Amino acid sequence: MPRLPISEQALRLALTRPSTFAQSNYVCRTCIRQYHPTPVLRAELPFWKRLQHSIFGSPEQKVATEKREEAHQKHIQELADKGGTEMQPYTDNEGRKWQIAAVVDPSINKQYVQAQRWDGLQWIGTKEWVALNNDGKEAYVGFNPRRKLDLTNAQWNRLLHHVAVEVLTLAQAGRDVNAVHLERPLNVEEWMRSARVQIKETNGVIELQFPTEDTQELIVNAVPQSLAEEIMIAAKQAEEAAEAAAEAEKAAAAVEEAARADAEAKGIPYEPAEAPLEKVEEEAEAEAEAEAEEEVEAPFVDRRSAKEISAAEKLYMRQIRDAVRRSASPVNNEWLRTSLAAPAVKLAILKRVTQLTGHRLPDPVMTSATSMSDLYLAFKIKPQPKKLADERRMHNLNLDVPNITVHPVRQTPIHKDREVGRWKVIEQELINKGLPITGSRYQHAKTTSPIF
Amino acid sequence: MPLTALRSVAKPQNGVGAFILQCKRLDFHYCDWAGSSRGMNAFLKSHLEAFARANPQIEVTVSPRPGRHPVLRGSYVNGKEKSICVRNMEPNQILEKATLLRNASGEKLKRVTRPVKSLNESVRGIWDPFHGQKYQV
Repeated sequence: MPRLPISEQALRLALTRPSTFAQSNYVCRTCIRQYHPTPVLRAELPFWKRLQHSIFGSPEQKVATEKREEAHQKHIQELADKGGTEMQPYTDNEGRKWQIAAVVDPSINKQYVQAQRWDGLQWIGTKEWVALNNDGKEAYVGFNPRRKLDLTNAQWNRLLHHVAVEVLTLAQAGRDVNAVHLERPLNVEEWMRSARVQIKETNGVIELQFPTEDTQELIVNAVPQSLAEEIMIAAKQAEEAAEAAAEAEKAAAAVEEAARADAEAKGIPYEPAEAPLEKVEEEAEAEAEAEAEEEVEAPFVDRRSAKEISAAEKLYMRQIRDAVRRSASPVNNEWLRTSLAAPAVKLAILKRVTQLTGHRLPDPVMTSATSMSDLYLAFKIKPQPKKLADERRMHNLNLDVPNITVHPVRQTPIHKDREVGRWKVIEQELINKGLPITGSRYQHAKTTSPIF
Repeated sequence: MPLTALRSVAKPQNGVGAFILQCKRLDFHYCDWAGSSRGMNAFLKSHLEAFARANPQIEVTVSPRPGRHPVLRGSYVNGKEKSICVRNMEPNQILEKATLLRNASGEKLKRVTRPVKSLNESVRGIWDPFHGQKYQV
């Protein structure tokens, strides 16, 4: 007799008519549980109670939900008392400013008018919404320019000298050498000025010889102190512009007042020639709002399109190339002996060179470079390796010994066929049959054949 | 009276009367970059001219095969080709290999069991049961 589980044995004992069950091999789970001698689950709550809680919620959950709702309603009421359907400013831990939409409940905020139609409402996820909320990820502008600047050896010499002069001047002035990487407009005059500066090293001490007294000051002042200073300078310029605009407005108002007085004196009805003051104010407000928006968004988001950024980069690269081309060569090449003992200086020079040209040195080369000449040798264009076929001796072999032929490039079977004159026949036949002449027809295959 | 042997027309044999070198073309392939071609490049600079002058009946071509080991390839009158890889070899060793290809016939190499070969028929003639001394049964 096979061994039965306890539950099944109990079931058999409990059943009044066990014959029907004894014949069947299957006992349903409900029956097993119903007649089980031990509790099904040693839970605090019975099964149906737990089922009820999972469907309708437990008393604890109900209390928590009520509390949460109450707090939410309280918060909405507070906002409504403040008069607020406006955006709430919020600053996160990283100092970023956000505008959060206020929670509005039409039952509390009586002044809030619910929309009855879709028209005019913001649709999230549409093309327009994406265009409006473009976070600038596509238009990311990195530190390195996307394109590399091709320079001759003489131009590399000038560029490295210019960067070295800037960095070393900053270091001598006690400024942070990393300020050299802050963005600033290119000025050819600065390049011309720095070309005349001589760098000398005596007993490990680097000495800069400036052609004029104010050269050092000019070079140092050309580099902004820090990003903050850069922003401050921009803000100052904006303030000055605003002041100038205000003065111009005052002057215009005075002129207008004089004109009005003059017209009244003559008894002629006065007609303002320019736009009414209200309109001007509105425009000014709109501009101010736009500026404010830009101020909020500018540090985080670049609203320019990829095309605009590409065009700006091209222009910047052209400016750099022009500056390098137009600037003079260093007075002598003694500056190449300058040692790069200070890692900060070396890194600042390399970063600036990368920023200007897009060329980056491999880390081992960067580490092993101990002088400016090492950097120059690493950046300068290496001569192409000589080829045997290009040697004069190999060129003249055919003249001296007629049975020698020297080919400068690899010879393929096509060359052999061409030599004996059958290639044109093969080629024509391949074209007639619509087959590739060389290579294959796979995508991106290296083929020169026309594909019909 | 025994039959006289049939007189056969002289068959042409290379080297009898005239000799045609079987190697008609030698290709020298090298790489400008690879170190295994160093000896080959030196050979091409220093030895090739003399070799080609000494063998005017052979067409010599020099062409690069970038990123490959240096190879000598001989083409023969019988239409076959023989190639020898000369990687890391010295110029003198390469000259030996070039001479080997120059002297080769183009045929496949075979084990020589009978060193003497002759195209001449036997001077004794073909054995015939009806010639010579007749056996009396």
